[in-house]
Amino acid sequence: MKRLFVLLLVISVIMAFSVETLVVSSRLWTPPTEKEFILNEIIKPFEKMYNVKVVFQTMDDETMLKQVKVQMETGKITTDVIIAYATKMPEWVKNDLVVDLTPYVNKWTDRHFSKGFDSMTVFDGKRYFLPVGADVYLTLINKKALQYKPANVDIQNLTWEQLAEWANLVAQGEGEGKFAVTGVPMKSLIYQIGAISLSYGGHWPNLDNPGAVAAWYLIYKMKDAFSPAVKTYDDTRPPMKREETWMTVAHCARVGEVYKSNPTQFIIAPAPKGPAGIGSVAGTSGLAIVKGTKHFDIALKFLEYMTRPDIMVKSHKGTGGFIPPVDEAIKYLGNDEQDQVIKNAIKVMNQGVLSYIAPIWKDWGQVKLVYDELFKKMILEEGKLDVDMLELYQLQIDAQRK
Amino acid sequence: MRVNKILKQTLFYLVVAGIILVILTPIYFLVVISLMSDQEAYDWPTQLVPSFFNNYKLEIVDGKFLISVYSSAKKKYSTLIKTNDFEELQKFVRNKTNSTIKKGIFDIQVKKLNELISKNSEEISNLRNQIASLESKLNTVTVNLVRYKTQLEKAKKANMNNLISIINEKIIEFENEKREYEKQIKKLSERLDEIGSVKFSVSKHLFDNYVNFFRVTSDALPALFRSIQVAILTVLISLTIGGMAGYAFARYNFKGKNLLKLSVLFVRMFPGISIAMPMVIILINMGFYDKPIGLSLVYSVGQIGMTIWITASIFMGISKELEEAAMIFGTTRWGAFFKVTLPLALPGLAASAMYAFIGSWSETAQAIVLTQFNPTFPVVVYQTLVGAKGLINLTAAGGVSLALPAVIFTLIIRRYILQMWGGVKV
Repeated sequence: MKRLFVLLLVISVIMAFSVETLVVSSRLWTPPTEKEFILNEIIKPFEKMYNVKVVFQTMDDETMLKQVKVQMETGKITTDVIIAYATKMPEWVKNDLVVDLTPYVNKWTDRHFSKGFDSMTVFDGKRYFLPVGADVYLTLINKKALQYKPANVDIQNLTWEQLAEWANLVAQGEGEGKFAVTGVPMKSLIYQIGAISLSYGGHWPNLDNPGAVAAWYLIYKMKDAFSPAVKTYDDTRPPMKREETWMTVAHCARVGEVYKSNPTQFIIAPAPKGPAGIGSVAGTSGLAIVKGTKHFDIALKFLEYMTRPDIMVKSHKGTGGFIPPVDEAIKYLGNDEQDQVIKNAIKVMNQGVLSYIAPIWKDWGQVKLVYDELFKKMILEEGKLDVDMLELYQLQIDAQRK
Repeated sequence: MRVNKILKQTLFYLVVAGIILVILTPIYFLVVISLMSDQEAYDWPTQLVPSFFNNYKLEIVDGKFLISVYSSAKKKYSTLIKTNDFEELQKFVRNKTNSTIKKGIFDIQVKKLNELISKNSEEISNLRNQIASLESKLNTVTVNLVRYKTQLEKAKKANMNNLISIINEKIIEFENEKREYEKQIKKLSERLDEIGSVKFSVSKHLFDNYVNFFRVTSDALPALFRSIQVAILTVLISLTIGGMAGYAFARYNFKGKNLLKLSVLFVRMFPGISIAMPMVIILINMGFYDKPIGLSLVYSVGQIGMTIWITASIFMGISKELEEAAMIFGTTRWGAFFKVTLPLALPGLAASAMYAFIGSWSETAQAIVLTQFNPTFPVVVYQTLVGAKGLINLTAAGGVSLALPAVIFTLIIRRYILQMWGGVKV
């Protein structure tokens, strides 16, 4: 009996070690609910299909990059696949940390990666990253704000002027602003103002062109519409969920999360329009294989699986509202709430005036800070539109160009 | 004199109460939030006590079930979801309110609701139409009212006195109209509630967030054991090395002693992460990367200095003559240390152990860098909660789960620590 037990133990240990393990580090799907969905609904079937074990870890871009750099330096590569954000991709390629996937991807005929993301994922004609989850900006309105909605306003075709007037009416009626933007430095205010700027025909992230000035004028007109606690927001989800704020224009997956938390209380719509159209900053996360991995074949199978149109739609429906950046994925969309978020995002992606974070900045964090400082100083503290100040801050942006 | 005493006492108790409040309020808040459902956690003002039951209201609107939950903060029902699919409704309600509505209970309520609706269908439909029409009028009035108020402010700023009275009249007119509509809507809604909805309550799973937390946190239990391992190893290493050094500082005089004693604290002045980065390569070469022993070695670097300071002061407080007396009675130098000095130094060692334990227990930044497949508990908590900004109750449950082992450890060794700060009286 004892011998049998020992034998069984040995067999189970051998079996456990005989299963190939793939380590995937991702900056995408970090919220626990999203991670749970990806683990159970997306990764488990893959593990069964190929009889492998996938260790799926979530971490921020910087930590992921540092970890892989150390692995390269010490020659002990343990991370096989990474999912990085577009702004970090050039660094991965520059440091020669990821594999050129062009020869493999060219053989996949059932999917076409949206051309819009080529400028971020393809370097010198070589495809290092496969775009997996794209993002744009959407409008989110709590139905409580409807009591102040001017009669002529169609939420699905909202203009920035209308939204500003509506937000000001809410602020006047409620005695305090109910519009949410992120007010904590280094967060996403640059993208929110960027969306307005693009819709007014402005270059982004520039400050001294007529479109950008028009955008800042709109922000100035909305100066009383922002929530009094706006400086404390590093994310618009919590104030929207606790109904401290009623309106925001924010990242599609975050908007999707709030909307799905109570679809009877919220309305989603594409980002508002301006004279130039629906403006939005877009970005994407991308899958790549770490150079020197011992599990290249299974890593490639993982990439192939994750970018299948049906799997892409399934993962994005279950995790918020990212856009599947594969053209064939759209036909898998239905009509439920998750689909509505994605459909609205696709509308912005297809019809919008989009801009991306170009890989021309020395330190993107410093560029982001310029917008934060301007908003704080010019709008929240001084409450005025100062074109001279815009021109002055443009010098700071220029200083960050490579 | 008496007044002076009363004043001093009052001040003393105010300070004590203030300290207790400062320490206990955040802990209480964290624990309460961790027991709240999503719905409760985001209600404002947040309730001081989590609910044990959820009260629901069920209606049929546009041919679909509309379920709402009672909000103690708002003193009214908040809508949750409108659907025909019971499973979808059950899942949504479970996620949002931490209560499971069983099919049996739901069917009974649906039956009751259908009876109610069939009896009052015409009136219900009329009421809904009237409410919709009034809400539309109310919306127009509200928008106009706010616009006039904005105009009034501008007119006041511009000193346009002739306009101010005209606008004021308009505002009064709109305010009266608004009040009237609101009154009517309230009355109609109450009637609609009475004849078009059913109410029922279901118990809440109080520890749902904890269950969820461990469910979505991959590798939580092994990580918990690893953390305990790391903490115990850190305590052992820092007590052994730090304790011996502390004894040496207390008992022997040598050149540069004070400078050396001060310098052992320098390492604590550097951010942990800056030590972790070069340590990665050293640990990989030693074969200790991603292992509890590697982590505990790095953690011990900071803890040893603190242990030296605490134990040195304790050993200094223990009379050297006691050891000498023990040796006169026949024991060796080691015997004197283990039988006389060590028992007397226990409070200091316990305090050092507590610092080392807590320090290593809650450390995250270095552990993220120094582990990959074998993360510690704070790392998995961090990885789980890093994107959980929209889920404050889950974050709170993670925080409480992380703190609990450290609290238990502190409670176990508390009796040794209580004597610590004043030094040991022998």
